[in-house]
Amino acid sequence: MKSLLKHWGETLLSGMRGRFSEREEAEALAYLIREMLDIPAREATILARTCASRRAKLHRLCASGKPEQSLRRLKRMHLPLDVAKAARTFETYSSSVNLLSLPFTASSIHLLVYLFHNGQRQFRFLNTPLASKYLRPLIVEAEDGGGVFLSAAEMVEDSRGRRRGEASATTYVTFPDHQLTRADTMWRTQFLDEDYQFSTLEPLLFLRGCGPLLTLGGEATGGRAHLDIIAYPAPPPADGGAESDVSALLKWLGERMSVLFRLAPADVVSWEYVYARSCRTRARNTVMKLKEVEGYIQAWRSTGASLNAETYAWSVKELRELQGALHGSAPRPRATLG
Amino acid sequence: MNAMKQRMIDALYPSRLSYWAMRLAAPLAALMLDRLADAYRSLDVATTARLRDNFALAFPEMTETAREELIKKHWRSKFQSEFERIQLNAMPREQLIRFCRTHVEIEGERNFRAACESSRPVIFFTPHYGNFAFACVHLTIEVGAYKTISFFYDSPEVNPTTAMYKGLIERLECNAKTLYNDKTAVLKGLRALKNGNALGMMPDVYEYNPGLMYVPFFGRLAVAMGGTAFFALKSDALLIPLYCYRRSGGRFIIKYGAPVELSRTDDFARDMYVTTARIHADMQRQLTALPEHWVYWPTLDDRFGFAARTELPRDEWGWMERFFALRSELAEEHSSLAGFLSSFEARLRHGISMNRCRPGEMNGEAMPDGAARAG
Repeated sequence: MKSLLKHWGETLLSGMRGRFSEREEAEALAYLIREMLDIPAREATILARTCASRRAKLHRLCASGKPEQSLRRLKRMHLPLDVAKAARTFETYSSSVNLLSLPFTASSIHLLVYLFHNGQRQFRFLNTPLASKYLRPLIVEAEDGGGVFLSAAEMVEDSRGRRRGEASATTYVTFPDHQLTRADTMWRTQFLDEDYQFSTLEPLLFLRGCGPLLTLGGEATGGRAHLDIIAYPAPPPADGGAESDVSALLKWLGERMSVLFRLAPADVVSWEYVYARSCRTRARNTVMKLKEVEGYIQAWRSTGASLNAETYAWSVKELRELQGALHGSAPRPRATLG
Repeated sequence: MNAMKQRMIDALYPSRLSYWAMRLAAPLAALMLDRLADAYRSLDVATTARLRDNFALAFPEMTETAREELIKKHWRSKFQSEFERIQLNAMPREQLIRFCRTHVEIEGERNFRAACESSRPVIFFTPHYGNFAFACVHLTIEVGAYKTISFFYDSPEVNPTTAMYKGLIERLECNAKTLYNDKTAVLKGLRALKNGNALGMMPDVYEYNPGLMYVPFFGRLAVAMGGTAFFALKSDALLIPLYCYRRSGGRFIIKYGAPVELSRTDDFARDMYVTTARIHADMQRQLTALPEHWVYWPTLDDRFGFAARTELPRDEWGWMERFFALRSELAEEHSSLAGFLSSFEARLRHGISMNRCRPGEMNGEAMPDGAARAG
């Protein structure tokens, strides 16, 4: 009797803890969503609650490590993506190699698990913190190397190997909204009407023949979001591509991602990552603005007129100190500098 | 099949027949490329419009007719460069060397010889101007007799479009190396210069990182990387400007400028800035003289960062007044940055007025580098 009471007590406590943490998460999410989408607080709170509860469910499902059971439950979650239809669309683009670049959403997880367990293709997933947490438990690596998680460098290397004559059909899966590569391989692109940084991994793979490039597109009909797979409309350039091809592809991806984030915000799993990167980009822009002011002071000084040494020295020192502080700072909310 | 195709190319390209065929077809090919470029100019409305805006920014005094003519020339130059790039890429080693030696006229050869024969390390810099690939190949061949030359460029992971240059340089089997602009770039570059060798750099590219700065360029502040100045200052290298552009008959002019003077004060950051500004001033002179050859005209306004509308004062005065325009363009009203810049401006104004009140204090006139030491 005692142990039964203890068990009930523990269950009750754990349930309360779960509810409390979900509520806290929802509050934090509401702030991020409001900041990123620029919507009223009330609307953001409602969205955040749905999003947090969906994420908690998703996490439990993924942690179970039972793909078939998870697929059934994912289907019951009423996600905006009709997975069977999307899989049929995917089939129409199933050349020997293709590139699937998805935002990290519940729908994307559902689609990937479905495609992986119902198709004949090999999948190479980009290893990101979210992919490890949500996707990895549901993707069992096949004996033929079917479902492998790779770093960005390994993925590029793997695609090179494929070109040397590997025959099996392969899909490279990347997550442009939150994947991170070296600082110099992140290009500035617009996302949700703001400066953001996307990795050049997708353009690199695409320009090297890993196409078609597929992602999720969406539209709102009857008050609900409906998603489907869409392909990048331009063919890979024959001459290896120019910088403008890289920019055009990233711009297209940024636009598609923005549409999805606005259309189905509760479906998104990667809000914290997206917000952190957006803040970093904003801080970086402020540093660039301060550098522009510093450039002005330096140019002024070079004219040899009217700017005395003392004023020059403190102004440059102050601008540099602020740049240093901002450059090394952790993600900070929008209300700060900028 | 591919090997056979390559053997055929290798056999045909260096032959006298192909050489004369290329020479005879060159005028016709140039004419066709010009027509194609003209057609693209009309079709690619967005790029042509950007060119129009950017030429207006850079050359405000230019008439509209002259600007349209310049746009036409720029499009044609772009197409010819692309065609030449393909040609160079297809040439086997012997053909490449012969082509680079016979199709060129050198201007400023004295600057080139003096730099190569000097025991000091040398940095050759060129913007993406004219046929810069041809310039790199020519430089590799000619410098090889004196020094080992290393070229910096983005790895294909950073910029997927640079892959051809590595192959081109390696094919020459000369005394040349290619270095990627990655985290080890500083060490690699300094090592290359340590023994009095040469480095090839292109200072008109940039990426947003903590090392960038804003220097005067076409009357505004333009983003610039400090790498070229950093290497030159650290190794006391000669900074030789290099420009390659085509003239009629499929020939090229390679122009070696006089060494750019390095700034030397006790303030290394200030030296970096002044040297980078001088590099950009040199490039601006060439870009003003023969503008059509610069590849980056369509994106000139991107270089002006967040304050593209603010022109720098043309004379020594007016800098304090123009600061207001700069800060208004940089920061949104009521933002924290706007607050900071507003107080910064007030203190600047105060500092300047205090200085005016103190007769006899050095006002920085005409000796900017030395004056910086006083701070």
